Amino acid sequence: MLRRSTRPFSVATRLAKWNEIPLAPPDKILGISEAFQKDTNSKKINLGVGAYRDNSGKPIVFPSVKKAETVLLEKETDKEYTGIIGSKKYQDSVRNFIFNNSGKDASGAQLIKEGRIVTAQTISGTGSLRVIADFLKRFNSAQNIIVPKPTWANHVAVFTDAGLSADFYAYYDKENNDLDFANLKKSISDAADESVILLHACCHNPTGMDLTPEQWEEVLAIIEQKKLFPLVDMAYQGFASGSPYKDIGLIRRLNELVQEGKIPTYALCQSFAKNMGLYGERTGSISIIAESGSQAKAIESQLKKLIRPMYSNPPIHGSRIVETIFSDENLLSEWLADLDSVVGRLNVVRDKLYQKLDKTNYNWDHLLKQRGMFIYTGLSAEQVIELREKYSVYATEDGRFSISGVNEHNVDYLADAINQVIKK
Amino acid sequence: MPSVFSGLEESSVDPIINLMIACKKDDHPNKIDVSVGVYQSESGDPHYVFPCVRAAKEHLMEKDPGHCYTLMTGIADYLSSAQKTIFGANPSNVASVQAVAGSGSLHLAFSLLKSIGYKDFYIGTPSWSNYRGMIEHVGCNYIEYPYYNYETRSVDIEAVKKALNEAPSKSVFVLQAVCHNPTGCDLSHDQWSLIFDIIQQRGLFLVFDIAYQGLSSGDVNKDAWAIREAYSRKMEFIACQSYSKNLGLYSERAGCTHVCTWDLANQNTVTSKLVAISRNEVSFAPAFGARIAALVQTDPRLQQMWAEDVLRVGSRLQDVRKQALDWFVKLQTPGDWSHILELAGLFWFSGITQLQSEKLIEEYHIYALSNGRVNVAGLNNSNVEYFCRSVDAIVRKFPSN
Ligand SMILES: Cc1ncc(COP(=O)(O)O)c(C=O)c1O
Ligand SMILES: Cc1ncc(COP(=O)(O)O)c(C=O)c1O
Repeated sequence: MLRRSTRPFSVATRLAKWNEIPLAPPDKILGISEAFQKDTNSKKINLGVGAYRDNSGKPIVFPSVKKAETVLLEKETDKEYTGIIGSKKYQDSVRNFIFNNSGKDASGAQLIKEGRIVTAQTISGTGSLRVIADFLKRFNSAQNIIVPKPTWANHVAVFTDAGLSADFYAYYDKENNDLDFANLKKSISDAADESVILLHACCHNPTGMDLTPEQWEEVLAIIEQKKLFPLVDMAYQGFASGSPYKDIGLIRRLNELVQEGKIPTYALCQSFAKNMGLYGERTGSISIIAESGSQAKAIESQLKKLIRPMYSNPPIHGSRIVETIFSDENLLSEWLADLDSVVGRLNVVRDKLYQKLDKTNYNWDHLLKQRGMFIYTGLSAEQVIELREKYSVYATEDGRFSISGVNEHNVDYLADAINQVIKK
Repeated sequence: MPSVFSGLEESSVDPIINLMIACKKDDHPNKIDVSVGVYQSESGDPHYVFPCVRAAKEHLMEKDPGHCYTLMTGIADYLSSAQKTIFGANPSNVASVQAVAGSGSLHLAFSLLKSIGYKDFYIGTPSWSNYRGMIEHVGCNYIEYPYYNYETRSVDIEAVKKALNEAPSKSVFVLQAVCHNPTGCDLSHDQWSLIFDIIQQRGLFLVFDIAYQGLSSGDVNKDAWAIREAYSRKMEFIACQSYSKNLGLYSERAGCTHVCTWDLANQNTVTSKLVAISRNEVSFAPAFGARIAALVQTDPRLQQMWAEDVLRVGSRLQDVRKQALDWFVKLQTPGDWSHILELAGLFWFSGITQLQSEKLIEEYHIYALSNGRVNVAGLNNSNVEYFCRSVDAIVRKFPSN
């Protein structure tokens, strides 16, 4: 067949079908940040972004992280390519940190010993979620995932973009500002057998409301019975209790169940964005718990095959910091102390805000049950918009406040604004 | 107990990885590594840190920008300086998004093209081994055509033209802008012009992969010629940029996808689509490497240092090529070796056969790729003679034909 271009030259040069690309919706949170930046009110408060700010509203570098960077700058010369799934040292340190924390997880330690845990460095938490989504799409019998309603804004997009279908399970009761545990259990029981189920390890985003150990027991029993595949997302390890070793109850329990043969496999997506403040450096991991050492090897090789055509290998600045901190006992305890003080501050402002809120017509007790970076206020979209327009208080319209934007200097102003808005 | 993963089989590793492992284990004093495509200094150090990068790191340590989330499009200074390095300016019709190094930028480009209906991707062979996986990963077709003529040891321009003329319109051609991996054989300006003509006439789409900018001529501006020429012809194309090699930032993963569109109304939609793709895969590209690259390209002192660094690297590679040729001539090594000097950059497609390369490892501890690709950066004043004598011996003992 003879192909001849009949278009005039100038059109032929523009044949790319850019016109057909629809404008993708902007990221809501970033939109809020932009509006915040333009606002000239000196009292303005940004409660949108899920990143830590100190008592004067400034982002921080964890002192332990800064020390690790100093060490690296002095020693480091090696910029050459790391492995597709990160360095062995990173994999080992992270695996030990999570699955054998302070030597208190006998089942996890045993799994490590048996070579049943594959750990790969990923592009932070998002990247690990994407890698596991692509992996499940290729190798899992079930092609659907259930996620809590509500959940992190990006979860559904990451999974559906990878070709899985996503559905919600009940999680939160907006009327009563509490966990909706009865419906949660019911909707999990109603899910198709073998579905993938996304679990927030702690500090549920956006509600801040976690399950108690007893509640987890019930949920895990359903998971076992229905052969669901647990996919745990742990983006805020340490933000519930102040200690990463305490916030890991779900993982420890899963390891026991795996050892007992009740749950054969599960996966964990983990990020150092928040608990080391490494946000922009994109440092995280995916761990898959396999049935055997040889299966773990096969999984590892498939992860490499999957990651290589996406970005070849992960960035090392953050992972070197993690390696440095985990290989030096002094730095490690410093980091644990840094994290504890960050979480301590969040809890202090949470309490202060609670105290100053007007409770005559509105029950604020949920604030005290919630943990982590966020408070899920229960305010309506209209109320949030009013806060923004009248008081220059910027938050997402689901009523989620990132409490790290609150500090001693603005907590009174914020409480007053909220009190005014709910009065009506 | 049955597991969801029970049927899973182990997938094979990239052969280059096995070579790297073998090379690492070998502790022979005369060992030479000319395999992996990274720059090595005159003293044979693959961990060479560009002085401008070192200075930028110190600067970052003192004036710490912290580690906060950046923008999903990327760090603003980085994007604008990356554009300048590619285009020599900040054209208003180029949408640029930070990516996870060159690989990530290609992945973004391929995903974007896939989303607007492009399916067939043409790659000239031999080529970088990751293209096939990357193209198939986004669900598109990987189609090969010959780029290199093994007889003449030069670009097989007739075959390239034929592929361009026969590909269905709306096919994508991925071309390496400079320092072709693995052949080291780049298109001449005339050849580029010919190719651009056909692409424009036939409604094909062009993706530039520029992973070695500066390492051919020693000048990043000169090495961007093909892209700037395409721009001045008002073509629409995507340029995928990497700082892995020309700043030695390999594992920091600094790269950029530049989409050139002539309908300004499209620029925002293109950016938004690229950001949406990123958001569902990584959210943000990593900050540290991009911060270094931005500093190096905006601070006048570091800019100057970088220009000198790149020039030094380019000259060293050229010098070592010349020394190698001198040795082959002196040794009267069978075969024609003159092409080593006609090429530039890291790579030299030596014509060494697979058997010869195995023997080079076994008998002389010299590690080249089995396809005969030699990374000339592995050579230096103190080992080039040993290298040439070894090749000479092997070529005599195991003749090519
Ligand atoms: C629940 C949850 N998962 C994952 C992430 C991913 O974060 P990152 O990709 O920055 O590690 C976040 C970030 O906000 C999150 O809230
Ligand atoms: C031709 C070519 N393109 C792209 C790349 C991408 O490299 P990176 O992802 O490390 O920037 C490479 C690296 O070897 C290459 O040789």
